[in-house]
Amino acid sequence: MSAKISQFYMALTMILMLFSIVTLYMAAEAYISGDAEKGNYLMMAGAMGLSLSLLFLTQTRKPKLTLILKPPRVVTTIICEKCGFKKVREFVKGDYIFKKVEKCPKCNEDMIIVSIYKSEKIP
Amino acid sequence: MIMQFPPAPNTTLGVILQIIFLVLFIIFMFFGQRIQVYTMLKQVEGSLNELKFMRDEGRKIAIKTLQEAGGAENLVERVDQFLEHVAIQPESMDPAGVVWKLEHIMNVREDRFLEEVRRMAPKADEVQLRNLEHLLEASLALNLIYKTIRHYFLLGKKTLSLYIIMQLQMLMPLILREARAYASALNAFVYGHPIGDGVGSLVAAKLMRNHEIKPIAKDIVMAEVEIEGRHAYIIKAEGPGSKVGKPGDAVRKIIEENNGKIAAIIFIDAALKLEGEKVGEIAEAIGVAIGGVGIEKYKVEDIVTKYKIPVHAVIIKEDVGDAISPMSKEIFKAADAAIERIKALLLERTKEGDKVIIAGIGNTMGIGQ
Repeated sequence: MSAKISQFYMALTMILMLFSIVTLYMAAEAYISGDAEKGNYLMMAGAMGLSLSLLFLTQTRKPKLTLILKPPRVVTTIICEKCGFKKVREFVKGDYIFKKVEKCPKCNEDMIIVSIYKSEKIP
Repeated sequence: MIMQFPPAPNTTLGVILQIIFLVLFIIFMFFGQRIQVYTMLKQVEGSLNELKFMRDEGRKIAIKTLQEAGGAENLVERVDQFLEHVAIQPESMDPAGVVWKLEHIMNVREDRFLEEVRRMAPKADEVQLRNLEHLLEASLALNLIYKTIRHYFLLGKKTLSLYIIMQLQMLMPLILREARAYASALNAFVYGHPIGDGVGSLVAAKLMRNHEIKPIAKDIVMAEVEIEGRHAYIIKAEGPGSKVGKPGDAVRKIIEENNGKIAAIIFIDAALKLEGEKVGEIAEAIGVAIGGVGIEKYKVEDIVTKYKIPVHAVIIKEDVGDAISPMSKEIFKAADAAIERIKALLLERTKEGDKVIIAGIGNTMGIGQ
């Protein structure tokens, strides 16, 4: 979606930024050689160019839209109410809180889902 | 020597820069506002592209999910038709009875949507149908936001009206925030994750667990539970499908069955937090905590006023993004804290043996009972 905009603007911005940096370098050289008047002008032009290119850069910066639509990691906690055995796994379509799922590997009782929430990592 | 800045234009570079400054000054003097308008239009256009991307992705996700649920032959066409649905608000010149007119329209809308989804996904079970219905509603909301903003953008571009464009540009961060929340909700409805808005239902589900559960109103279930020596009628939407039900009808029915002899009603619901507040923070409130268009809230307010029943609420703070995206750990943990707050409220505000209603409000997707 933003590829066309970024290619054109990025090229312009980069050229402007490059010129601005060169101008600033020339300003520094002018100051060193004692030509303060020329240095001031170059410094002003360089600062303007750099500000403008930074403004363009911030305007063309787009958030990664695909990230918004990427499903978050959701974890399901299952426990056996009889022996307290606990298992945490990734959410599976069809899971819901208080659903009876698999049998407990320790006491063979029905285990239930007690929590479902989004988490960056499985605890 | 004190140096002048900028120095007098006695060099070639100086002359060039002076001319540039003069030209820029004149341009900004006469065309400043127009430049400002174009800059703002450019910014709005960028945001509009983002809205379009979200709208298109929402549509794609909806079509793909419906296809997986045995999509009908002309599915794409049907989805596109669905995304253009609008509900026309009832006339309110004579406001008496407008709530019932609005309720009727909302009922017809809900039945129509469900019927449409059933046609689009004939193989889907009841739980899937409800989730798909809300998935399509989220896509519809994204489509509506995009089209409204596009309307004002094009109107602003056509008229070059600073006031239209300025309002749009200023409101855009808030509009994008809401649209991003809807976009992140899409996957929650695809997978059937519990969402932040369901925290009220979660609290009620925890309270009614291992008790006899029976239906009491449309999409609402009820259980009678003894809590701290009080006889509590716990209600929530029937899970695990994406439903909110009609809690107003359920509360009204319980009150009338008990001839108004209800000591208190406690609502538990998610509420939008203010910036700076923590997600999952709990607060107490007085009044009917039911969101939506206001029909259910009206029904409860009407009957509690008639019988002079005190109404309390326990609200769980969350962001608009948290409310319709998969439930976060903070919100999940807040459910237990809310139960403790309900118990404290019962001890403080009611007597032993009193009858109370505890209503868990919100979307019960991914939450059974």
